[in-house]
Amino acid sequence: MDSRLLSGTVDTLLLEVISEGPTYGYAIAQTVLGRSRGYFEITEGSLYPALHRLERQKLVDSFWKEAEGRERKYYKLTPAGRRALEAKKKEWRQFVTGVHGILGEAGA
Amino acid sequence: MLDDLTAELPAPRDDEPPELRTRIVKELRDHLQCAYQQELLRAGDETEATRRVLAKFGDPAKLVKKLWFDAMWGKIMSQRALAGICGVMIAACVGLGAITLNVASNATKATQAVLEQSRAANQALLEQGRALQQSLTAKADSRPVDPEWVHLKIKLTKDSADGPPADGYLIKLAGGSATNKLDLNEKSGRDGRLDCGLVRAGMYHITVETTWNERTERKVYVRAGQPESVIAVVCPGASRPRFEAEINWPSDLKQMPDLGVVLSIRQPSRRDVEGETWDVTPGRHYADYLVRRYLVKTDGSIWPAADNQGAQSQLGDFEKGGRLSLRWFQESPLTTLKLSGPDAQYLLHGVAITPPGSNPPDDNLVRFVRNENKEWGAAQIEGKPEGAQRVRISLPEELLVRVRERLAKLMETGDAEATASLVAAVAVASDQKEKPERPKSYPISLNANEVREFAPLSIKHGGLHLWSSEVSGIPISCEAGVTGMVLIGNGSFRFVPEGGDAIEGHFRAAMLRFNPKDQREILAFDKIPAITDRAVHEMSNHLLKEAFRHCWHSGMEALIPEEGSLSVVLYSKEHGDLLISSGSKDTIVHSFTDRKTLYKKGSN
Repeated sequence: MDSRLLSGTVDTLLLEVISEGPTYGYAIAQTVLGRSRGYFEITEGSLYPALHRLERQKLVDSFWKEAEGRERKYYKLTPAGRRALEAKKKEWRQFVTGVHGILGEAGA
Repeated sequence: MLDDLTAELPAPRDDEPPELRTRIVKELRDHLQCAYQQELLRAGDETEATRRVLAKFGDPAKLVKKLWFDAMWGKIMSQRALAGICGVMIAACVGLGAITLNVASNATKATQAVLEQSRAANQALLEQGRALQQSLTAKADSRPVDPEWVHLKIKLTKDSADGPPADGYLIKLAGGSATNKLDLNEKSGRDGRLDCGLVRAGMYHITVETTWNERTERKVYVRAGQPESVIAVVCPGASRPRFEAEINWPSDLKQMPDLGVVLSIRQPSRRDVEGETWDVTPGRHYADYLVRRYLVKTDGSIWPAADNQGAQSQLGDFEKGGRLSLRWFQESPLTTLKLSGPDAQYLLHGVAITPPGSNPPDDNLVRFVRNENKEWGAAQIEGKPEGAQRVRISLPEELLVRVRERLAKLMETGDAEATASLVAAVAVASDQKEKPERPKSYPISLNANEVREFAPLSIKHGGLHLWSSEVSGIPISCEAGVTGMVLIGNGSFRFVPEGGDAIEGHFRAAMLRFNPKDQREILAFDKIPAITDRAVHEMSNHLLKEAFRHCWHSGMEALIPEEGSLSVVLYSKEHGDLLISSGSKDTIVHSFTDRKTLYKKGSN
């Protein structure tokens, strides 16, 4: 797929996965890959800058916890992140509806 | 490649959060290890898994740099803005030369400090990068692909946890679920180890068997979330010493073809090695001892008791006084009676006089002269022999006397069942030696009104010194006189056998046995007033039930010791139930508690 199609939606996808509970980078990437049936493969070069950016924007918060004998960084959604996710989902649905309207396909 | 992880980063800054670099590296490290585990599951090969992870990840150094710059971007921009303002300020102050020079000097020192700080931080980050690379590329660290899968290794050592490796021992590991069953059956290597590979976490059943079929088994739990689990098992380094037992027949009975000893051999079914229980003989055991009965004939043939339950049951009845049949023994005899020490014991049931020419499993009842002494004897060997040693089991003289009497009676009556050869042999034996006399035994009695209080007591006889500051004694009386005394109370003893080391300790109670003619010499108490002490009487009665059979007895009747002899059973603080017996022919010191003979000298 054209990576530019994905780049605009990365934040939404990450926030959605994180909204389901505290999780970490590798698990997020695998979840996105699995749920999209291999369609969205977020590379590490996109994943971590996006996560850190969301953290700086205080849309996600992080904490460290030991797992499998080593420290692991977990991300969780902040209240601001939850509001931002709802806004992005609404915005996305409107976008899809618009695109479908033009392409003449059934709504999502 | 990961050595250069921080190569593209600028020098650490004073305004940089102290753990920023560390946390970036830690997070990426975790990601890489997760990816490595996943790829190892797919590729099944560590090198290939590492290659795939690094190929997919790209250049970690660039990502580290990007994350660092993203984090520091705001501060860097602020600093640049500040630097611009400073430039304006410096230009405004250019006229103030002295002040400017001073400022410049301080700036140089600050720059040097920042450089030093930067060098140290870079070094620390470099070490982290190296550790990350090692964890990914080290072949030896075959980290499991899933926390549920654990690299299991088994380590066997001999005799102790830090002992030499136990190589060549059979290891069986079984367990797992129905869909993921493990059934491993391999031998330990020269290093005593067995690499079981990846196994799923859970409970397993491990069995270790030595090359001589001694084995242990236990459950082991392999816990999830560990890269590696090692099960250590301490094994016996060598088999128990083995020896062969044979009956020490008197020469007159040895030549009789239809005689045999019935005896039981009792061996511990287990032994303990560093807290591990090992079954010393094959198969599962539910008793501490394995008992096997044998008929050992004068011709050297050894007939083990039959294994079937009927035979075992009949032999059980026989032990309670029932009759003995040859059909309860196996039809194939052994040529040697092999025992594994050092704890094997034997119990002599008696001597069988079999029908002429009969051998197991003929359906014939046998005449039987029972042994009155139902004590287990210790068949011990000294030291650790290289090969099998022989232990000779002697028959008690009292039993032999009765066997000879029985044979003589058979000869006199011309019993139809008596074999001609047997009768002839008895005749020869009768010609060769006088008809033996069975020693006379006497019922014994203790009298609660005859208790003596010794304060003090001192006995010195034949190398034995026994003394006490205060002790109570009750005579053991029989028709022949006072043949012993039970002592209740604390005291001390010391015995120095001829050519042996001194054996000494403290006793809490004791039983003395002597010839009535020696009583005054050994223990003069005629001038000590008799008192009534029912406690001493009761305790002595209880003690005699155990101690009396240790020496000079026929059941609970007294045999009279030869003159000059003295036997003492001591309940010793140090040695437990200890017999010290000395006579003109024999001297023996034996611990019934330890089943160990400490000293022996003489004919028996």
